[in-house]
Amino acid sequence: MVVVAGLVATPVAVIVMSIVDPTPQMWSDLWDTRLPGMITDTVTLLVTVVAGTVIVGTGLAWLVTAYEFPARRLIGWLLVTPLAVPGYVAGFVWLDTLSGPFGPRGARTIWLCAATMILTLYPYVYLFARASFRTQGSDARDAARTLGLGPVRTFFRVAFPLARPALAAGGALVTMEVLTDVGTVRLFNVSTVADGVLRVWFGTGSRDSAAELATTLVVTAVALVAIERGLRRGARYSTRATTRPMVALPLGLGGRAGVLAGTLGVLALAVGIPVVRLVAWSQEARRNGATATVAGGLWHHLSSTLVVATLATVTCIALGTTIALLVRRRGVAGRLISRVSSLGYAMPGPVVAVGAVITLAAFDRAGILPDGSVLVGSLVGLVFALTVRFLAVGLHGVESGLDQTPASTVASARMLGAGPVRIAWSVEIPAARTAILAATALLMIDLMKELPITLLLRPFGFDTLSVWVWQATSESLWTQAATPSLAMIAIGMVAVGSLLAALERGAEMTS
Amino acid sequence: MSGSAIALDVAGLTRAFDGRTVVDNVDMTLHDGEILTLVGPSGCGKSTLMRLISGLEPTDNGHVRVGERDVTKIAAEHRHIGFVFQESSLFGHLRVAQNVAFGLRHLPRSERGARVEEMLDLVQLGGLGRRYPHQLSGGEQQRVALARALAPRPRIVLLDEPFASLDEVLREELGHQVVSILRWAGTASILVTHDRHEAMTLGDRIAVMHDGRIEQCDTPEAVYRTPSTRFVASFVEVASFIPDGAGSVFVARPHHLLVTPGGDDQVTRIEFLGSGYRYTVRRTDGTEAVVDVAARNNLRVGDTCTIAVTTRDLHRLA
Repeated sequence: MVVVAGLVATPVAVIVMSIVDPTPQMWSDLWDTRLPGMITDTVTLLVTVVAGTVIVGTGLAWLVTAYEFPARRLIGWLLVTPLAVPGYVAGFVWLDTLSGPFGPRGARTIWLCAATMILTLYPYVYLFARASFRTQGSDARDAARTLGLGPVRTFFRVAFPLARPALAAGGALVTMEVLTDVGTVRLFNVSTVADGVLRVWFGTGSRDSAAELATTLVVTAVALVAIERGLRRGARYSTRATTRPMVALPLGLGGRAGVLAGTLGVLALAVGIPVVRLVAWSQEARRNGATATVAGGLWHHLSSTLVVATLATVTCIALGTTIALLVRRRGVAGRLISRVSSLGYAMPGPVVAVGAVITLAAFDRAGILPDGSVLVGSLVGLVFALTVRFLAVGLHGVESGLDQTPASTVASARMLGAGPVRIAWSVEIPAARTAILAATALLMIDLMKELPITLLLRPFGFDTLSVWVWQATSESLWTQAATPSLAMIAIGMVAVGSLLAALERGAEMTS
Repeated sequence: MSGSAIALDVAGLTRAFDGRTVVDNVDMTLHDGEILTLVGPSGCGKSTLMRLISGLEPTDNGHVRVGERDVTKIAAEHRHIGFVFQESSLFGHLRVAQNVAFGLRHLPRSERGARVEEMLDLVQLGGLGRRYPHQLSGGEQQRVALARALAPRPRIVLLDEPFASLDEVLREELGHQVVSILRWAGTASILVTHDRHEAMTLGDRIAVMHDGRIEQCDTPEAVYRTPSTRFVASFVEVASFIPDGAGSVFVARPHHLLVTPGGDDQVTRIEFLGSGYRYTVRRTDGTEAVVDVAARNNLRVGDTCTIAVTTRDLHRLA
């Protein structure tokens, strides 16, 4: 396990080490030209998107848990589905749609970029907030009502503050997504630092310069993760089961109409309109034979995506489970291994990609593989880099599931003669299976959308759906990008469905 | 009991957390088939003592023997001690029968089913083997936990406040039920409780624990009639301490005393008990005395009064 943790941490270490030997030329060039703009854009985008997702995600979660309206349960589920839509897909649909009224230049603004990101990322906050409101129960809301607070003030003064730790956890996920994104920002000509790393790599061909620029993101991300860890510690205290679950209040006719308009409006913007437009484009592409011109066609890309996503998901879950079990057994050493192997999640995709290439290239030079084959550009190399980046999703998911098993249950198993392996296999892992399933679904969604690592590390001729969309959209060929986008949304919907099924079952079992 | 073999022998058991001694040099012996209740206020170290005996918690000092076998250095999973926890610790993903069978891996498959049925019948849950734990009531869950602990036929079983999460009516009923199951199984048991009534009625012997030490371990009668310390005296039942004039005190139970109007003492509280009345009296030396009377006299709160002892053989504390 120590070896695994070391391997997973190496690409990150490589990046951090690069700053020890800086290239002053690159920094002064960047500082004179693009760097100030990159920092401003990154911060502006981050603040806007985090604020937007928190407002939208929390607001929707509160409506769905606290009030009764037609099709509440169904809408509650549907509101998670924007997770299945990659930001850069929603991005190019809205870019084209709004190019009508605003003109193609007018639509390429940081604000529209932020808006599409909010629409596709708010479900992270929504899921955390909904879980938090459910466990809060009705007591706080009802107490606020007896003290004369109306629904709006109840939300802002009671529900929102109580859900704060959960919101921080959701907000942290959104932060990572925004810092990592390269697909959406490129569409809207927003030059963030992550985008800059890619540009330096491709523009100058200098891995070292790209790595150095990436350190700025590493520092930001590490700081944000530290804050999130602190906040999550608080969250654990507040998620105790209450005696009474949240009872939804009935709404008047106006209230019901308002809630339906709001929730369905968000769904239309985030999923409905993009899907309708994509279907139209994809039919157009089929009519004029544009799809057929893409090498390999849909099936090649679809199977590539599924192969990579499945391999990386299985690796992340298996390693994550092993590490999580180790954390429970060996306090300090386990926690250290857990922290070290989570580092990659704090790193934006392009950073991990750069670090992984440098690491793999070093292995290749050392001639680790026998028959002269190389890791860089191999499927193994790609899965390795994706594992570095996403291991923490599996690890934290499994950890939260293992936390569900009370210490006394594990102790009972010991008293009945079960050793550590049997306890893991027949008590802890089965009890955590819904959490593991949820983590698997989240990983599939993340990996299917993943762009920078796949782009930089994929084997030659091994093109995924996300690469297809990237290539088509960078030439503004929306109709060409429609079919692979729909395929991604379809995979995402399946994953979202199993995520919801896992969460519902988890909620049932604890109640 | 003294005729049967020793099932558990604990000597000098000690455990400290962050410099605070939670279990302090505890000695304890349990004979085969015996039921010992371990009672004390919360935080006195009862649960930690159980975890030390079971091996779930490492010991700083002392020995634990199960029968002839020294298990002090042996991991919990190899001690063959049954344990029932305070909260339901059933495996939520396994059916009731699978829970009970969990510790029976050493048995051939053919015998396992029969043992599980036997155990479920013993705890009067026959026929519920296919249910899941969350489909059972709290009391039923704890009976499954007991069946699961007894199924491998351990020589001793530890029950750490197994009724604490249940409501009072259920507690009492389940308490007697559990004791008769333990007697039927003939397993030596330590039953932890913070309820003195439970401790008095359920155990062959009571160990009273205070601040990490066992202050007295004896039959319920002996602990009640001849307590060894003030703490034990007033923990098992309300007690007044009457100075004997030689620097020591007598232990007086409320029915040992009489209260009459006039004098230097003062009535501070009168409670209706159902069967009679309980007077709390502040004495001139600042101590309190508690007196039970069958019929209410004309004393009121604030009136002066006198305390008298009605029996000649009060227990004198050393």
